[in-house]
Amino acid sequence: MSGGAGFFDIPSDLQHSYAGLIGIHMQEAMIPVGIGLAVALPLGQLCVRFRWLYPPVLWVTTVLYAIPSLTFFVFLIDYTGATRTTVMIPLTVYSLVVLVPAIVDGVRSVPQDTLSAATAMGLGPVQRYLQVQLPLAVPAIIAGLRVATASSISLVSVGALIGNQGALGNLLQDAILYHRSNLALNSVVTIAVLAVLTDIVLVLLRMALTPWLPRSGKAAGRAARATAVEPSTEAALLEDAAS
Amino acid sequence: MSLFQFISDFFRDNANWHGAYGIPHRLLEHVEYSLIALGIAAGIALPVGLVTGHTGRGGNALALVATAARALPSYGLLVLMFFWLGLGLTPVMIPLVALAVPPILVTTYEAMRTLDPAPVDAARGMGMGPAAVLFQVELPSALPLVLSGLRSAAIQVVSTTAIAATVSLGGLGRFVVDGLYQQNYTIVVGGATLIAGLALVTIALFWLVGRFVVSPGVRGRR
Amino acid sequence: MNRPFAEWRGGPGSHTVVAVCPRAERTARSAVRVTPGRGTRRSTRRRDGDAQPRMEPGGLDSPGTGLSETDRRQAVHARSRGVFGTLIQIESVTKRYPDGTTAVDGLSLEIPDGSITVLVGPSGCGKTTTLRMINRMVEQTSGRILLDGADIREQPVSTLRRSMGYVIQNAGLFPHRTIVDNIATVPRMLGWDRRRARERARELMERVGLDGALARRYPYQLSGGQQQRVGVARALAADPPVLLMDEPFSAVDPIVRKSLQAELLRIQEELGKTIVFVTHDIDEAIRIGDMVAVLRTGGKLAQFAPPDELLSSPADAFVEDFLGTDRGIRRLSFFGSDGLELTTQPVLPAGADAAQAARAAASGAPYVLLTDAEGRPRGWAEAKGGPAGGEPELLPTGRPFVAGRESLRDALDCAVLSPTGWAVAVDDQGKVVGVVSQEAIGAAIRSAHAARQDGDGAGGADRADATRAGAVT
Repeated sequence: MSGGAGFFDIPSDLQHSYAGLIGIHMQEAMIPVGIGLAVALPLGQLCVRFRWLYPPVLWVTTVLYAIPSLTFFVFLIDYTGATRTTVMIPLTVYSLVVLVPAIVDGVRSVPQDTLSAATAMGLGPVQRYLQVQLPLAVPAIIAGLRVATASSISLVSVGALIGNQGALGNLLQDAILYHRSNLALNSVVTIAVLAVLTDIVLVLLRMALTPWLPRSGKAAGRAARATAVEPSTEAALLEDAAS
Repeated sequence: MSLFQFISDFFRDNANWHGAYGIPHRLLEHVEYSLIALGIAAGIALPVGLVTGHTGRGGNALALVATAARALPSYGLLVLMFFWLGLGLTPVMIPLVALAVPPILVTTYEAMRTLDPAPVDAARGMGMGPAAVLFQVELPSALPLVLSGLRSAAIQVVSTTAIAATVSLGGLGRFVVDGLYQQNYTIVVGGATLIAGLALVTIALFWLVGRFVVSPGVRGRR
Repeated sequence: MNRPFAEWRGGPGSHTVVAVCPRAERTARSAVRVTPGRGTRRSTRRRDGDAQPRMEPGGLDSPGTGLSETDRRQAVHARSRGVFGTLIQIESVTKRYPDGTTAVDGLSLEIPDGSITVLVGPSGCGKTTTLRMINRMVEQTSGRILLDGADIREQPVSTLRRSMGYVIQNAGLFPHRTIVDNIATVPRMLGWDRRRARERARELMERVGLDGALARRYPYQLSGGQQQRVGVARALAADPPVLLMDEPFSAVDPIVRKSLQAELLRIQEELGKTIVFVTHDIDEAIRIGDMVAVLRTGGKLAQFAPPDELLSSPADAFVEDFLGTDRGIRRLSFFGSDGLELTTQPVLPAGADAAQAARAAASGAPYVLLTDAEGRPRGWAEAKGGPAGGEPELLPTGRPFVAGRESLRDALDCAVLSPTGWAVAVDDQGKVVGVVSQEAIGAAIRSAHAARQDGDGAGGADRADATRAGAVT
């Protein structure tokens, strides 16, 4: 079934080399996460500041996350055409809705005593946010980022359905077109490896940013689980929903 | 022509409401596939999650499973299964179940792990057996988190079942895939609307179920 | 009855325990007949404050009737169970964990029937482990535990546990069940129908001092103190003869804790359960315990004695250190004030004539206590000042003590705080019944100590008699 061509022989209709596809894939996956984080940080802080804002935001978040990517993509075709933007807009929304609860819960989980101590030392609201709340919320934020990147990297491939905007996902369409199963396998394996590598980078980043947290595998696992559990039901749902 | 125009055209077209290619039939197919996948996933993940969570063993293994499952692209998996197993329900069910197991498994595990140990201790101390402790004390308290795991699995399954149409399965995804192939945007948008609607109905259903089965004593605490 | 004593000596308790032996033997014996003495102490204790408002009417108005009432109830209670004295026997029990740590080491205890036995000690002394071995939440490595003379392993574990109420630190209420259904849990397990179980639950809510309006609430809607009351009610629901309480009040604030302790004593007065109570708080142990077992780190018994004995003669430096300072003062709460010699000579009632005033002034006391028309204390006036010259300048009397009901500790406290050095004794209505000087209280304390020691020295005389003698002297 593999039709003779090698594992890394990319059909010419994709107009990119294997490495090029990886580059496009990561670009399509990570730009939305970056924009999502940039929007989620102030939005999350607003939700912490004005508590009444959080429940409705959480509701909107849950509903938006439930909208299937395919629906999102095809709705957007009418406005942004079959382009990369069409793929990246939904991914931005998904990243945003994963990150907001993670940030809110992370910032909220900073003990009141710690905040009072910071205030008592004379830190203003901005300093307090940058020097105390944000650093202590890093584990929760990274946990959110891990979910957002994994889901983003996986969902880019669905973009293939709306006219070859799926980067490595386009290999899947070509696999069907040319009856080359090794292209499908290549796509799945490459995407999985990219997701795992990104995950590892994020874990390392967390360790670098939070040197005060336990290092040992077991303790770190426990800490990671603790941050995964602390969020409300909805946040826990969002964290676990991505795959 | 606006998005809403496409949508209303789709639903107004009588031809879309009848026969094997009609909305009711496709909807039933979609629900059926989703329920089978969710049922199998729950059948695997709930007991495993309850047991591992209850004993506290295998937490790291579960974290690994969750990470691995998150890394696997479900669309890619669907295509791969189609190559390896051909057409049919089984090659579609494998990715769907693989997709639905981790959220249920992890939330159930965490729900059991984070239970307040005091009521469990009290229950044992008053002479409840292990089964009674599990079903009368642990599960009712763990229910909100377990339900949220089931809900997110259900949403993922509903949404991915739509993609399964690319490998010739029925369901609401057919409208989108066929419409894209025929370049009939009305059908594409109509199908996409139906899929989104089904996902939202799923959320609403889980919300309703939660209202009825979760004790106000547990719900109110949150 | 000498067996446990022998085991204490034989156990790894080393020479310090051997030093306690004579006392231990007496304790073991008194465990049988100790009830009257406890009655006296309890009634003394219950008169000292927060228990008062909730006290049941009658029965305890005078020390005498209170004593006999308690006596009779507990005797009946003991007979009804067909045993007399010890209900739970812990026989050289050891608990060793797979990792090598020894939580409990060769512990032997005889837990007397119908009374509160407190296990107290620093963290890591195995007190909770010991408690949990009684309902088999923890299985001992060696030794055995007898309940009513039978090894607890002879009956199914669920039957055993259902016959013992279990109260834990954070109450451990089931969050998904209403208060009434939480309390009805064990009756339901025992097959009662729902209506009867709920009826029983409402009855218990009243007994533990919970508003019936809380019945349909959920645990998260209750305060910590209220939750703990529900925990106690739930443990009592099936009327088990034994109540195991594992630091039940340590998670609530001191004021709530005090009222919960008073409530427990009141409930115990009514129900006469066999209660095993674990705490790390020695004051709590002294306050509520009929018998106190002090455990040391490593799970060894340091001393097993009634609280006043613990205070008067700690077995060793560890116990002494654990008890803390002012043992002497604290011990005074075990001596009744009914033996105090009150004098009414310096008391001048309202509307007294000049002759009475002169007699009061000449009583030898430096001050005269003036009372109002209802006989309540108004204040102290200087005796030298003479009756003439209208209203003299009055010194405040401070808080008076209730003669008989309150202890010598309360009497002494009043005298120490009084600007005149004299304490004012009143009756239940607040009417002055006499005054007493610091010196007289001091004498009463000395004779109470002496009487207690005589009781101790005379080997055969039991502690209860000594207590009574101490109270009457």
